Amino acid sequence: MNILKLIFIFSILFAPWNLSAQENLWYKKELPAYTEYLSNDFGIVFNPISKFANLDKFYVLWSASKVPEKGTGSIYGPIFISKKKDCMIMYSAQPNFVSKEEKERLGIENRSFHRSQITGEIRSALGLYFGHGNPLNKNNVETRFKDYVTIIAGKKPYEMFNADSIFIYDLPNADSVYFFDESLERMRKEKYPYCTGMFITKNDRATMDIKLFFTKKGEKKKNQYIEMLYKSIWYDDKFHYE
Amino acid sequence: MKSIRKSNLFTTTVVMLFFFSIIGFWGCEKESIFESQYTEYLDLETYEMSKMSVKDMETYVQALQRLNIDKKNGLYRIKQTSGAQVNISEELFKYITKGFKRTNEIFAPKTVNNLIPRLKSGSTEGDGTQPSDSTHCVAYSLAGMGGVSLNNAIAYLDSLGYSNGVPPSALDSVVYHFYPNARKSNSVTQGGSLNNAFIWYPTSDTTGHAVNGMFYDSNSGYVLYNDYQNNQMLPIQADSISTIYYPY
Repeated sequence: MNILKLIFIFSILFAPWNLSAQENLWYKKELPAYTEYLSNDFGIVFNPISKFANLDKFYVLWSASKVPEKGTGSIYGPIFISKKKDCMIMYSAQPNFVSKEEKERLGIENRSFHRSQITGEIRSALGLYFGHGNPLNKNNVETRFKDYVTIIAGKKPYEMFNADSIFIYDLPNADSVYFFDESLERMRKEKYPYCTGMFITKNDRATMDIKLFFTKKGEKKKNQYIEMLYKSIWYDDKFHYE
Repeated sequence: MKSIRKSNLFTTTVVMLFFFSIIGFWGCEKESIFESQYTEYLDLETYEMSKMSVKDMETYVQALQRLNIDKKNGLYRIKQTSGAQVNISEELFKYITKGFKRTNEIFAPKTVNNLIPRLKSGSTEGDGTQPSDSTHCVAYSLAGMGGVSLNNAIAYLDSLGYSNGVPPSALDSVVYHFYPNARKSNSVTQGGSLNNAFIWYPTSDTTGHAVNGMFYDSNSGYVLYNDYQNNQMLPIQADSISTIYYPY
Protein backbone atom coordinates (compact mmCIF):
# COMPACT_ATOMS: atom_id res chain seq x y z
CA MET A 1 0.00 0.00 0.00
CA ASN A 2 1.61 3.25 -1.03
CA ILE A 3 1.76 6.38 1.08
CA LEU A 4 -0.94 8.18 -0.93
CA LYS A 5 -3.43 5.39 -0.26
CA LEU A 6 -2.59 5.52 3.43
CA ILE A 7 -3.15 9.29 3.55
CA PHE A 8 -6.44 8.85 1.72
CA ILE A 9 -7.68 6.17 4.15
CA PHE A 10 -6.65 8.21 7.18
CA SER A 11 -8.29 11.32 5.84
CA ILE A 12 -11.54 9.38 5.28
CA LEU A 13 -11.38 7.85 8.74
CA PHE A 14 -10.59 10.99 10.65
CA ALA A 15 -12.24 13.74 8.65
CA PRO A 16 -15.67 13.34 10.32
CA TRP A 17 -14.07 13.37 13.77
CA ASN A 18 -12.21 16.54 12.97
CA LEU A 19 -15.36 18.17 11.72
CA SER A 20 -17.40 17.22 14.77
CA ALA A 21 -14.67 18.53 17.05
CA GLN A 22 -14.84 21.96 15.47
CA GLU A 23 -16.91 24.57 17.24
CA ASN A 24 -18.84 27.14 15.35
CA LEU A 25 -18.05 30.14 17.53
CA TRP A 26 -19.05 33.77 17.12
CA TYR A 27 -15.48 34.77 18.02
CA LYS A 28 -12.34 33.23 19.49
CA LYS A 29 -12.27 32.57 23.22
CA GLU A 30 -10.11 35.57 24.00
CA LEU A 31 -10.71 39.15 25.12
CA PRO A 32 -9.46 40.98 22.01
CA ALA A 33 -11.75 38.86 19.81
CA TYR A 34 -14.74 39.60 22.07
CA THR A 35 -13.94 43.32 22.05
CA GLU A 36 -13.71 43.33 18.27
CA TYR A 37 -16.97 41.35 17.94
CA LEU A 38 -18.87 43.81 20.13
CA SER A 39 -17.48 46.76 18.23
CA ASN A 40 -17.94 45.41 14.71
CA ASP A 41 -21.29 43.66 15.10
CA PHE A 42 -23.06 45.82 17.67
CA GLY A 43 -21.21 49.13 17.82
CA ILE A 44 -20.47 48.61 21.51
CA VAL A 45 -17.07 49.72 22.74
CA PHE A 46 -15.90 47.37 25.48
CA ASN A 47 -13.48 48.54 28.16
CA PRO A 48 -12.66 45.98 30.87
CA ILE A 49 -12.83 47.37 34.40
CA SER A 50 -9.40 48.23 35.68
CA LYS A 51 -8.12 46.29 38.67
CA PHE A 52 -10.36 43.35 37.83
CA ALA A 53 -8.71 40.10 36.72
CA ASN A 54 -9.88 38.29 33.62
CA LEU A 55 -10.94 34.71 34.46
CA ASP A 56 -10.53 33.79 30.81
CA LYS A 57 -13.98 32.23 30.64
CA PHE A 58 -16.06 32.50 27.49
CA TYR A 59 -19.33 30.98 26.26
CA VAL A 60 -20.48 29.99 29.75
CA LEU A 61 -24.10 28.91 30.09
CA TRP A 62 -25.92 30.07 33.20
CA SER A 63 -29.38 29.43 34.59
CA ALA A 64 -31.43 31.46 37.08
CA SER A 65 -33.04 28.28 38.37
CA LYS A 66 -32.07 25.96 41.18
CA VAL A 67 -33.01 23.18 38.75
CA PRO A 68 -30.29 23.99 36.22
CA GLU A 69 -31.90 22.82 33.01
CA LYS A 70 -35.33 24.19 33.90
CA GLY A 71 -35.37 27.94 33.95
CA THR A 72 -34.49 31.08 32.09
CA GLY A 73 -30.81 31.48 31.40
CA SER A 74 -28.27 32.88 29.05
CA ILE A 75 -24.70 32.72 27.83
CA TYR A 76 -21.90 34.84 29.26
CA GLY A 77 -18.24 35.64 29.06
CA PRO A 78 -15.84 37.33 29.53
CA ILE A 79 -15.93 37.12 33.31
CA PHE A 80 -13.87 39.27 35.66
CA ILE A 81 -13.10 39.16 39.36
CA SER A 82 -12.22 42.00 41.72
CA LYS A 83 -8.86 42.20 43.47
CA LYS A 84 -10.42 41.24 46.79
CA LYS A 85 -12.42 38.51 45.06
CA ASP A 86 -15.62 39.82 46.60
CA CYS A 87 -17.22 40.70 43.25
CA MET A 88 -17.44 38.79 39.99
CA ILE A 89 -18.80 40.46 36.87
CA MET A 90 -19.86 38.72 33.70
CA TYR A 91 -20.88 40.20 30.38
CA SER A 92 -23.29 38.75 27.86
CA ALA A 93 -21.49 36.60 25.29
CA GLN A 94 -23.78 37.99 22.63
CA PRO A 95 -25.79 41.19 23.12
CA ASN A 96 -29.38 40.74 22.05
CA PHE A 97 -30.29 42.54 18.88
CA VAL A 98 -33.35 42.01 16.71
CA SER A 99 -33.89 44.58 13.97
CA LYS A 100 -37.28 46.21 13.43
CA GLU A 101 -37.76 44.12 10.28
CA GLU A 102 -36.88 40.91 12.11
CA LYS A 103 -39.20 41.80 14.97
CA GLU A 104 -42.01 42.25 12.48
CA ARG A 105 -41.16 38.98 10.74
CA LEU A 106 -41.03 37.19 14.10
CA GLY A 107 -44.23 38.79 15.34
CA ILE A 108 -42.52 40.24 18.40
CA GLU A 109 -42.60 43.93 17.48
CA ASN A 110 -44.50 44.87 20.62
CA ARG A 111 -42.47 42.80 23.05
CA SER A 112 -39.11 43.63 24.53
CA PHE A 113 -36.58 40.90 25.09
CA HIS A 114 -35.13 42.35 28.29
CA ARG A 115 -38.50 42.53 30.06
CA SER A 116 -39.34 38.92 29.15
CA GLN A 117 -35.88 37.70 30.08
CA ILE A 118 -35.84 39.53 33.43
CA THR A 119 -39.32 38.25 34.27
CA GLY A 120 -38.23 34.73 33.36
CA GLU A 121 -35.08 34.99 35.49
CA ILE A 122 -36.96 36.29 38.52
CA ARG A 123 -39.72 33.71 38.28
CA SER A 124 -37.18 30.94 37.69
CA ALA A 125 -35.20 32.05 40.75
CA LEU A 126 -38.40 32.09 42.80
CA GLY A 127 -39.21 28.54 41.69
CA LEU A 128 -42.32 29.67 39.82
CA TYR A 129 -41.14 29.08 36.25
CA PHE A 130 -39.40 26.04 34.82
CA GLY A 131 -39.67 26.73 31.12
CA HIS A 132 -42.50 27.08 28.66
CA GLY A 133 -45.25 24.52 29.18
CA ASN A 134 -43.63 22.88 32.19
CA PRO A 135 -46.33 21.39 34.45
CA LEU A 136 -44.38 22.59 37.51
CA ASN A 137 -44.95 26.25 36.54
CA LYS A 138 -46.90 28.04 39.22
CA ASN A 139 -48.95 30.13 36.88
CA ASN A 140 -51.40 31.26 39.50
CA VAL A 141 -48.69 33.07 41.49
CA GLU A 142 -48.18 36.59 40.19
CA THR A 143 -44.93 38.54 40.24
CA ARG A 144 -44.97 42.25 39.65
CA PHE A 145 -42.09 43.55 37.56
CA LYS A 146 -41.88 46.81 39.49
CA ASP A 147 -41.50 44.97 42.81
CA TYR A 148 -38.15 43.62 41.69
CA VAL A 149 -36.79 45.85 38.97
CA THR A 150 -35.63 49.46 39.06
CA ILE A 151 -35.60 51.24 35.73
CA ILE A 152 -33.21 54.15 35.39
CA ALA A 153 -33.60 56.46 32.42
CA GLY A 154 -32.14 59.79 31.40
CA LYS A 155 -28.83 61.25 32.49
CA LYS A 156 -27.41 58.29 34.42
CA PRO A 157 -27.54 55.63 31.64
CA TYR A 158 -26.38 58.24 29.15
CA GLU A 159 -23.36 59.14 31.25
CA MET A 160 -22.52 55.56 32.16
CA PHE A 161 -22.98 53.81 28.82
CA ASN A 162 -24.40 56.31 26.31
CA ALA A 163 -27.57 54.25 26.73
CA ASP A 164 -31.27 55.06 27.12
CA SER A 165 -32.08 53.01 30.18
CA ILE A 166 -30.80 50.57 32.72
CA PHE A 167 -32.94 47.80 34.19
CA ILE A 168 -31.38 46.71 37.47
CA TYR A 169 -32.56 44.07 39.93
CA ASP A 170 -31.34 41.85 42.73
CA LEU A 171 -32.07 38.28 41.78
CA PRO A 172 -34.06 36.59 44.56
CA ASN A 173 -32.63 33.29 45.86
CA ALA A 174 -29.42 34.10 44.02
CA ASP A 175 -27.60 31.37 45.95
CA SER A 176 -29.56 28.87 43.88
CA VAL A 177 -28.57 29.93 40.39
CA TYR A 178 -26.36 27.64 38.33
CA PHE A 179 -23.24 27.84 36.16
CA PHE A 180 -22.83 25.07 33.61
CA ASP A 181 -19.06 25.48 34.03
CA GLU A 182 -17.84 23.31 36.92
CA SER A 183 -15.13 25.60 38.29
CA LEU A 184 -17.39 28.67 38.19
CA GLU A 185 -20.24 26.78 39.81
CA ARG A 186 -17.90 25.66 42.60
CA MET A 187 -16.76 29.26 43.13
CA ARG A 188 -20.31 30.56 43.15
CA LYS A 189 -21.50 27.94 45.60
CA GLU A 190 -18.64 28.58 47.99
CA LYS A 191 -18.46 32.36 47.87
CA TYR A 192 -21.12 34.25 45.96
CA PRO A 193 -24.67 34.10 47.35
CA TYR A 194 -25.76 37.43 45.83
CA CYS A 195 -26.46 38.35 42.23
CA THR A 196 -27.49 41.63 40.64
CA GLY A 197 -28.68 41.73 37.06
CA MET A 198 -28.44 44.66 34.68
CA PHE A 199 -29.90 45.07 31.23
CA ILE A 200 -28.66 48.10 29.36
CA THR A 201 -30.80 49.26 26.47
CA LYS A 202 -30.68 51.84 23.72
CA ASN A 203 -33.22 52.50 21.01
CA ASP A 204 -32.58 50.45 17.84
CA ARG A 205 -29.44 48.97 19.36
CA ALA A 206 -28.43 45.67 20.96
CA THR A 207 -29.32 45.09 24.60
CA MET A 208 -26.40 44.30 26.89
CA ASP A 209 -26.85 41.97 29.84
CA ILE A 210 -24.43 42.12 32.77
CA LYS A 211 -24.48 40.03 35.94
CA LEU A 212 -22.65 40.92 39.15
CA PHE A 213 -22.05 38.29 41.85
CA PHE A 214 -21.12 39.28 45.37
CA THR A 215 -19.74 37.69 48.49
CA LYS A 216 -21.34 38.79 51.77
CA LYS A 217 -18.69 41.51 52.11
CA GLY A 218 -18.86 42.46 48.46
CA GLU A 219 -22.63 42.92 48.61
CA LYS A 220 -22.12 45.78 51.04
CA LYS A 221 -20.06 47.56 48.38
CA LYS A 222 -22.57 46.78 45.63
CA ASN A 223 -23.18 50.38 44.59
CA GLN A 224 -19.46 51.05 44.50
CA TYR A 225 -18.95 48.10 42.13
CA ILE A 226 -21.86 49.16 39.96
CA GLU A 227 -20.31 52.62 39.63
CA MET A 228 -17.13 50.95 38.45
CA LEU A 229 -19.00 49.78 35.36
CA TYR A 230 -18.94 53.42 34.22
CA LYS A 231 -18.02 53.36 30.50
CA SER A 232 -17.04 49.69 30.64
CA ILE A 233 -19.39 49.46 27.70
CA TRP A 234 -20.23 52.39 25.47
CA TYR A 235 -22.72 52.64 22.61
CA ASP A 236 -20.95 54.20 19.65
CA ASP A 237 -23.34 56.69 18.02
CA LYS A 238 -21.56 56.42 14.70
CA PHE A 239 -22.42 52.74 14.37
CA HIS A 240 -25.07 51.55 11.90
CA TYR A 241 -26.23 48.02 11.29
CA GLU A 242 -25.58 46.84 7.76
CA MET B 1 -78.49 15.26 13.33
CA LYS B 2 -75.43 15.71 15.46
CA SER B 3 -73.84 12.46 14.23
CA ILE B 4 -74.47 13.40 10.60
CA ARG B 5 -72.77 16.74 11.15
CA LYS B 6 -69.83 15.02 12.79
CA SER B 7 -69.54 12.56 9.92
CA ASN B 8 -69.52 15.34 7.32
CA LEU B 9 -67.00 17.22 9.34
CA PHE B 10 -64.73 14.19 9.50
CA THR B 11 -64.93 13.56 5.76
CA THR B 12 -64.28 17.18 4.92
CA THR B 13 -61.40 17.27 7.37
CA VAL B 14 -59.78 14.20 5.84
CA VAL B 15 -60.19 15.57 2.32
CA MET B 16 -58.75 18.95 3.32
CA LEU B 17 -55.83 17.37 5.13
CA PHE B 18 -55.12 15.11 2.16
CA PHE B 19 -55.18 18.03 -0.22
CA PHE B 20 -52.93 20.24 1.85
CA SER B 21 -50.59 17.34 2.63
CA ILE B 22 -50.03 16.86 -1.09
CA ILE B 23 -49.20 20.53 -1.39
CA GLY B 24 -46.89 20.25 1.59
CA PHE B 25 -44.95 17.31 0.19
CA TRP B 26 -44.80 18.87 -3.21
CA GLY B 27 -43.55 22.04 -1.55
CA CYS B 28 -40.58 20.12 -0.16
CA GLU B 29 -39.29 19.64 -3.66
CA LYS B 30 -39.99 23.06 -5.06
CA GLU B 31 -38.20 26.14 -3.85
CA SER B 32 -39.31 28.38 -6.65
CA ILE B 33 -42.81 28.98 -5.31
CA PHE B 34 -41.50 31.70 -3.04
CA GLU B 35 -39.98 33.53 -5.92
CA SER B 36 -43.31 33.97 -7.68
CA GLN B 37 -43.88 37.26 -9.48
CA TYR B 38 -47.18 39.06 -9.65
CA THR B 39 -46.63 39.57 -13.37
CA GLU B 40 -47.71 36.00 -14.04
CA TYR B 41 -51.47 35.57 -14.25
CA LEU B 42 -52.59 32.56 -12.22
CA ASP B 43 -55.54 30.27 -12.80
CA LEU B 44 -56.23 26.58 -12.34
CA GLU B 45 -56.98 24.21 -15.21
CA THR B 46 -59.64 22.51 -13.13
CA TYR B 47 -61.37 23.18 -9.85
CA GLU B 48 -62.29 19.56 -9.30
CA MET B 49 -59.99 18.31 -6.60
CA SER B 50 -59.78 14.76 -7.96
CA LYS B 51 -58.63 16.02 -11.37
CA MET B 52 -56.11 18.54 -10.16
CA SER B 53 -52.60 18.16 -11.49
CA VAL B 54 -49.38 18.97 -9.65
CA LYS B 55 -49.21 22.13 -11.76
CA ASP B 56 -52.60 23.21 -10.43
CA MET B 57 -51.43 22.64 -6.89
CA GLU B 58 -48.31 24.68 -7.60
CA THR B 59 -50.46 27.47 -8.96
CA TYR B 60 -52.72 27.27 -5.91
CA VAL B 61 -49.77 27.66 -3.52
CA GLN B 62 -48.33 30.52 -5.61
CA ALA B 63 -51.65 32.30 -5.40
CA LEU B 64 -51.76 31.70 -1.65
CA GLN B 65 -48.37 33.35 -1.28
CA ARG B 66 -49.57 36.49 -3.04
CA LEU B 67 -52.48 37.08 -0.71
CA ASN B 68 -52.23 39.09 2.45
CA ILE B 69 -53.78 36.89 5.09
CA ASP B 70 -54.14 37.71 8.76
CA LYS B 71 -55.97 36.29 11.71
CA LYS B 72 -58.43 38.00 14.01
CA ASN B 73 -60.30 36.39 16.88
CA GLY B 74 -59.06 33.01 15.69
CA LEU B 75 -60.48 33.51 12.19
CA TYR B 76 -58.65 34.12 8.96
CA ARG B 77 -59.22 37.20 6.87
CA ILE B 78 -57.94 37.76 3.38
CA LYS B 79 -57.24 41.44 2.89
CA GLN B 80 -57.65 41.40 -0.88
CA THR B 81 -61.20 41.65 -2.12
CA SER B 82 -60.65 40.44 -5.66
CA GLY B 83 -58.30 38.24 -7.63
CA ALA B 84 -57.32 41.12 -9.88
CA GLN B 85 -55.47 42.77 -7.02
CA VAL B 86 -52.84 40.02 -7.07
CA ASN B 87 -53.23 39.03 -10.72
CA ILE B 88 -55.05 35.76 -10.21
CA SER B 89 -58.38 34.68 -11.70
CA GLU B 90 -61.54 35.57 -9.83
CA GLU B 91 -62.48 31.90 -9.79
CA LEU B 92 -59.21 30.99 -8.12
CA PHE B 93 -59.65 33.84 -5.65
CA LYS B 94 -63.13 32.59 -4.76
CA TYR B 95 -61.81 29.04 -4.50
CA ILE B 96 -59.16 30.14 -2.00
CA THR B 97 -61.45 32.35 0.06
CA LYS B 98 -63.99 29.52 0.16
CA GLY B 99 -61.22 27.17 1.34
CA PHE B 100 -60.28 29.52 4.17
CA LYS B 101 -63.89 29.96 5.12
CA ARG B 102 -64.18 26.19 5.34
CA THR B 103 -60.90 26.04 7.30
CA ASN B 104 -62.26 28.61 9.76
CA GLU B 105 -65.39 26.53 10.24
CA ILE B 106 -63.78 23.11 10.33
CA PHE B 107 -60.74 23.80 12.42
CA ALA B 108 -62.30 25.90 15.12
CA PRO B 109 -60.44 24.88 18.31
CA LYS B 110 -63.44 23.13 19.87
CA THR B 111 -63.75 20.68 16.99
CA VAL B 112 -60.17 19.43 17.10
CA ASN B 113 -59.64 15.87 18.18
CA ASN B 114 -57.68 16.28 21.39
CA LEU B 115 -56.44 12.72 21.29
CA ILE B 116 -53.98 13.59 18.52
CA PRO B 117 -50.64 14.63 20.03
CA ARG B 118 -50.01 18.27 19.18
CA LEU B 119 -46.97 20.47 19.45
CA LYS B 120 -48.25 22.86 22.00
CA SER B 121 -47.50 23.41 25.60
CA GLY B 122 -49.57 23.36 28.73
CA SER B 123 -51.31 26.44 29.98
CA THR B 124 -49.07 29.25 31.12
CA GLU B 125 -51.74 31.73 31.99
CA GLY B 126 -50.78 34.03 34.79
CA ASP B 127 -47.09 33.20 34.93
CA GLY B 128 -46.10 36.51 33.40
CA THR B 129 -44.21 34.74 30.66
CA GLN B 130 -47.12 33.40 28.71
CA PRO B 131 -47.08 33.59 24.94
CA SER B 132 -49.63 35.51 22.96
CA ASP B 133 -50.73 32.27 21.33
CA SER B 134 -49.63 29.02 22.92
CA THR B 135 -50.32 26.80 19.93
CA HIS B 136 -48.08 28.47 17.39
CA CYS B 137 -44.63 27.53 18.64
CA VAL B 138 -43.85 25.75 15.36
CA ALA B 139 -44.71 28.89 13.38
CA TYR B 140 -42.51 31.00 15.65
CA SER B 141 -39.65 28.56 15.22
CA LEU B 142 -40.07 28.44 11.45
CA ALA B 143 -39.92 32.24 11.45
CA GLY B 144 -36.97 32.10 13.85
CA MET B 145 -34.98 30.16 11.25
CA GLY B 146 -35.05 33.34 9.17
CA GLY B 147 -36.73 32.42 5.90
CA VAL B 148 -40.40 33.06 6.49
CA SER B 149 -42.54 35.54 8.40
CA LEU B 150 -44.56 34.44 11.41
CA ASN B 151 -47.81 35.41 9.69
CA ASN B 152 -47.04 33.37 6.58
CA ALA B 153 -45.98 30.39 8.67
CA ILE B 154 -49.16 30.58 10.75
CA ALA B 155 -51.32 30.95 7.64
CA TYR B 156 -49.67 27.93 6.05
CA LEU B 157 -49.95 25.75 9.16
CA ASP B 158 -53.53 26.75 9.73
CA SER B 159 -54.41 26.08 6.11
CA LEU B 160 -53.23 22.54 6.80
CA GLY B 161 -55.49 22.36 9.81
CA TYR B 162 -52.77 22.78 12.43
CA SER B 163 -54.28 25.83 14.09
CA ASN B 164 -54.34 23.95 17.37
CA GLY B 165 -50.80 22.61 17.14
CA VAL B 166 -48.74 20.58 14.70
CA PRO B 167 -48.62 16.79 15.07
CA PRO B 168 -45.00 15.54 15.43
CA SER B 169 -45.51 13.33 12.39
CA ALA B 170 -46.08 16.45 10.26
CA LEU B 171 -42.92 18.27 11.37
CA ASP B 172 -40.82 17.08 8.44
CA SER B 173 -43.28 18.27 5.84
CA VAL B 174 -43.80 21.72 7.36
CA VAL B 175 -40.09 22.36 7.94
CA TYR B 176 -39.06 21.14 4.48
CA HIS B 177 -41.86 23.16 2.93
CA PHE B 178 -40.16 26.39 3.98
CA TYR B 179 -36.60 25.07 4.18
CA PRO B 180 -36.11 22.43 1.47
CA ASN B 181 -32.39 22.24 2.24
CA ALA B 182 -32.76 21.81 6.01
CA ARG B 183 -30.69 19.02 7.55
CA LYS B 184 -32.52 16.88 10.06
CA SER B 185 -30.86 15.18 13.01
CA ASN B 186 -32.04 13.42 16.14
CA SER B 187 -29.18 14.82 18.22
CA VAL B 188 -27.09 17.95 18.47
CA THR B 189 -23.64 17.06 17.22
CA GLN B 190 -21.62 20.19 16.64
CA GLY B 191 -20.64 22.58 19.41
CA GLY B 192 -21.03 26.34 19.19
CA SER B 193 -23.56 28.48 17.40
CA LEU B 194 -26.68 26.65 16.25
CA ASN B 195 -27.70 29.39 13.86
CA ASN B 196 -31.34 29.37 15.00
CA ALA B 197 -31.85 25.74 14.03
CA PHE B 198 -35.39 24.45 14.55
CA ILE B 199 -35.53 22.37 17.74
CA TRP B 200 -38.37 20.24 19.03
CA TYR B 201 -38.48 18.69 22.47
CA PRO B 202 -41.29 16.86 24.27
CA THR B 203 -42.97 18.49 27.27
CA SER B 204 -45.20 15.48 28.01
CA ASP B 205 -46.26 12.23 26.34
CA THR B 206 -48.59 14.11 24.06
CA THR B 207 -47.19 17.63 23.82
CA GLY B 208 -43.96 19.26 22.79
CA HIS B 209 -42.45 22.64 22.21
CA ALA B 210 -40.61 24.08 19.23
CA VAL B 211 -37.81 26.62 19.70
CA ASN B 212 -34.65 27.87 17.95
CA GLY B 213 -31.17 26.69 18.92
CA MET B 214 -28.75 29.44 19.82
CA PHE B 215 -25.63 27.74 21.20
CA TYR B 216 -24.51 24.23 22.09
CA ASP B 217 -21.98 23.93 24.91
CA SER B 218 -20.50 20.50 24.20
CA ASN B 219 -18.57 20.54 27.51
CA SER B 220 -21.70 20.65 29.65
CA GLY B 221 -24.00 18.96 27.12
CA TYR B 222 -26.49 21.82 27.27
CA VAL B 223 -28.08 23.88 24.55
CA LEU B 224 -29.17 27.49 24.97
CA TYR B 225 -32.23 28.21 22.88
CA ASN B 226 -34.25 31.20 21.76
CA ASP B 227 -37.94 30.89 22.49
CA TYR B 228 -39.30 33.62 20.23
CA GLN B 229 -42.85 32.83 21.27
CA ASN B 230 -41.96 33.88 24.81
CA ASN B 231 -39.09 36.19 23.82
CA GLN B 232 -36.69 34.42 26.17
CA MET B 233 -33.55 32.34 26.25
CA LEU B 234 -33.38 29.09 28.21
CA PRO B 235 -30.95 26.18 28.56
CA ILE B 236 -31.94 22.57 27.89
CA GLN B 237 -30.05 19.30 28.08
CA ALA B 238 -29.08 18.30 24.55
CA ASP B 239 -30.33 14.76 25.25
CA SER B 240 -33.84 16.15 25.82
CA ILE B 241 -34.04 17.36 22.23
CA SER B 242 -35.95 14.98 19.98
CA THR B 243 -35.34 16.58 16.63
CA ILE B 244 -33.24 19.39 15.25
CA TYR B 245 -33.42 20.84 11.73
CA TYR B 246 -30.38 22.86 10.73
CA PRO B 247 -31.31 25.58 8.26
CA TYR B 248 -28.71 24.47 5.66
